[in-house]
Amino acid sequence: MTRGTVSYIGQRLVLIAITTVLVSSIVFLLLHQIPGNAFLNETRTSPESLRANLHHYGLDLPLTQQYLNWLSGVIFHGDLGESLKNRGVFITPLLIREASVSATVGFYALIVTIGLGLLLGIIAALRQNTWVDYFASSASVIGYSIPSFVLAIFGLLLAGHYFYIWTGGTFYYVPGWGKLEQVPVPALALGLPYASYVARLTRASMLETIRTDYVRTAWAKGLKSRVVVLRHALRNALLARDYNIVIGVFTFYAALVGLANLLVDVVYPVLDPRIRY
Amino acid sequence: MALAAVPEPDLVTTYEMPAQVSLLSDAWNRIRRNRLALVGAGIIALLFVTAIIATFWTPYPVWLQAVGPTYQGPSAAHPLGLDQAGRDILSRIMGGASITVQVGIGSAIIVSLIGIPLGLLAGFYRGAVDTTISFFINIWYGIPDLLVALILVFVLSDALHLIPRGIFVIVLAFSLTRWMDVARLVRGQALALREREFVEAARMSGARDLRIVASHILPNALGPIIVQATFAIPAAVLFEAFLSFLGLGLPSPMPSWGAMANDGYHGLDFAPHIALAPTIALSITLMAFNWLGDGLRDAFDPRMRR
Repeated sequence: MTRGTVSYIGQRLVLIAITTVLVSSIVFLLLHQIPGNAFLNETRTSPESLRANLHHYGLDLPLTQQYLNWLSGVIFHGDLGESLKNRGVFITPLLIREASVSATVGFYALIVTIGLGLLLGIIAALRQNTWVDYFASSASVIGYSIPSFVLAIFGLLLAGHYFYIWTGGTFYYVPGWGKLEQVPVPALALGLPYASYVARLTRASMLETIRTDYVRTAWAKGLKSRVVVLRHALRNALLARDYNIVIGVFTFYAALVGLANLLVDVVYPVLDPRIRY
Repeated sequence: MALAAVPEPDLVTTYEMPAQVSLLSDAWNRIRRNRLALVGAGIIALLFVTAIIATFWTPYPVWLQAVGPTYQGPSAAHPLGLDQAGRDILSRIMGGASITVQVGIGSAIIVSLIGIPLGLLAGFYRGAVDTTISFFINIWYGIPDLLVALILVFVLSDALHLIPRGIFVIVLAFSLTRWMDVARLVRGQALALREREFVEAARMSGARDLRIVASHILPNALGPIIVQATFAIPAAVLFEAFLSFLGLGLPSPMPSWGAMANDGYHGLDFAPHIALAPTIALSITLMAFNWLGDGLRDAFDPRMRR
């Protein structure tokens, strides 16, 4: 790695750190604007036990002090705090467990995104203005317009219900999590919209690249089409303008997704009282 | 040999100005040749008409339960069938169109109201103003928008004493987390336009900053702004549908397409029509806005000019 790369990564980390602190403080402040407290819904609480509860979680301290305590706990001990609903349940290990599920789905979705997106984009560019191109291009606009949750619903219906009926019960898919054969539906649902986006980018970039002189030279000297397309055209199509964007987007989103999942899990029980850990 | 009479050259040559076309009619001339964009515009027109009709009349009230057997599939009396509470799905799809239009248009307007002034300030004044605004834009991009918007929905509806999670709160939460695209675009436009000759000419003739920005920079940046605002609409529509699908958006019995998809999800294996109707409506709407946005982008792009 060059010094430039290192300092770039350093800058990004600092930015992510600032964002993280900013987001955490915003969330912290916003949540404390909501009237009442976390124990208000509990029945049969005496004022003493309420006070004891508030004291146990440090909720009787001034707001800035609470935030600083929380922040120093995160930074020095990696401790995100304790569940308000279930005393003794700590949030950090809970998050690690949940984050691994998100990371697994995300990983397979990424394979779908990059694999399918690049493939469709390359084929559309190589067969520009043929029915293959029109099909791939319209499929990518359609794929881009169908929300993930819609794809997920009908993916489940198709895989879990209709495949079972059509194959007379030989194929069955149990929606859920934990087995490898359960991965395709969520991975496709999550990955397809992004794959459509990648396909559109790849097509545009490939179209520019395959008209350049060095690609024409590569064809002229009789290289195999696979070599020309993959090594000369595609590599430069990605490099031309999107390489940094792709890396940037994915590093950024990696941090984002981690952050988002973390916050979702912290915030969920507050937003939806039915969820408890 | 007599010289042929050479016609006296006209000293006053009449120079014919090229026909002046306004930005909008120029864009219209190009977009009407783009079939997909026209199809998109047609679908959007249908959506608007449906939304307007639905504010005055739907076949059944959107909230009225048990107008027929629950989970009943499509029939002559109920073309799209009935949902798990026996509500007429066609009526609810129409009501949902009205919500979708309000969310989409409202968000596009508020996003522009936040993004355009900030972008103009940053791009026109540069220096410290630009640094500050750009810093916030970059930081804001790092914030997981869906999540913060989700919290905003709750905090705003509490702070504004509105009906829990009304349409306005959703629009506001979306706009407060997604104003950066417009701001960044307008900043770039302002940075480029402020160096142009007509801005220089305006400044030399003594125009004030406000006048330069309002009557020279903003009108010339209008095309890209319209495109960006158009793309904000499907994003906002998807945002509302997704929140409502999770049960965190518009409250029951408001006929949000996202909430209807969630209703249908629970009876998916024996009554798929409940989920199909709203999700197809949602997908077609998003597709129409994306087609129109793509078409507008091509139409407003100066590089595509004849």
